[in-house]
Amino acid sequence: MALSAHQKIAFTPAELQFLAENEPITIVPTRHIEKLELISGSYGPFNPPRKAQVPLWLAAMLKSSSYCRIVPPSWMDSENLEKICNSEEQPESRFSNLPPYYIIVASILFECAEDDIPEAQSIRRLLQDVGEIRQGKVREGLKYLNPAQLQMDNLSMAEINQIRPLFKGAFNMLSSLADLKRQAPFEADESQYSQMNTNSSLMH
Amino acid sequence: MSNFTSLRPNYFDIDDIMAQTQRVPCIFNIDVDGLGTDSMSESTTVSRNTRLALPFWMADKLNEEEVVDMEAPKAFSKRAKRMFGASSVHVDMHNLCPYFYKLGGKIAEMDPELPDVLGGVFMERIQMLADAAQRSHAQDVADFVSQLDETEKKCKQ
Repeated sequence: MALSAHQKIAFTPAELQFLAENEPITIVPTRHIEKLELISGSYGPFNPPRKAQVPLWLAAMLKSSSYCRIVPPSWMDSENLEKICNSEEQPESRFSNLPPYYIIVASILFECAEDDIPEAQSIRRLLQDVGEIRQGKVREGLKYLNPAQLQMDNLSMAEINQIRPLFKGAFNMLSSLADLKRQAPFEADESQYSQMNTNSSLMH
Repeated sequence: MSNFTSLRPNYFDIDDIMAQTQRVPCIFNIDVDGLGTDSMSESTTVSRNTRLALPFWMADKLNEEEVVDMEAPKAFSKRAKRMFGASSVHVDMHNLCPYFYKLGGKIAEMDPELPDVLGGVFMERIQMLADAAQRSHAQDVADFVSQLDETEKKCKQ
């Protein structure tokens, strides 16, 4: 296949952004827009005071030509993020429930609609903190790596993508090490078995 | 790429082939004609009880035929195991044996402890490896990366 080595084992950031742009988001149109008939579906018509749900890419496009205002998703709230940040910091805590594309959605929103996000600065800082804490946890989680399974619930796509190549290689390695271990006692059993045979033949 | 980090034999894996060319110390049980390449002496006979480091692919076959006794290579000796026990993170694996895991997997049947040793070493090093993969520009990381075994390098990519 004509893919680069990196593309074969993980998504590129651009691919992840493409996937994240399909996430639905609420907008408030600022002027009337006719129904949009597109290949991926039809959206609208949009009438100013009524909120509407559209994919993020459409929202970003409408926003850039100032046809709408974007309503930040409910998790992108400084109080909520503060809570998440605190709970993430607890020792032995699990990953908190954030949407799978939270990093990318946030970065797209900051890029195109920073004026629609209240307290944008503190949200940006909190998201960065949460991201760093979670990254630290993923690193800690490596200690508990075993050949059978790895449970890290609520990990976002970007975070999974970051560890995918390493974990994939490590899992392969660990599973073949486990096979190796399984073979060793099997051989020991066999030698015991032959010893038993010689013992019994001595007894006869 | 994923298959190349496993220890199973793989015809298409260059590291698997390279691992087989690693030399393993052997002691000859019998005189062997025609194997010697010692330019100092005229004869090409390798006499009994000679200690020679043979590539694994040859040592393994001769061991099967009981022509030689294979011994543990330096990277799997008692001394090396003590070194891993102290801290496997600081071992220069690239220098010690660049195909540590692959060769280890091949000679594991010689030594029942070996799977545990390999697993322990890998688990200890994987965390450093994860760090190295995330911030590949720092100097200490560059030093660590130059000490990686080939399989670990594959994992890091």
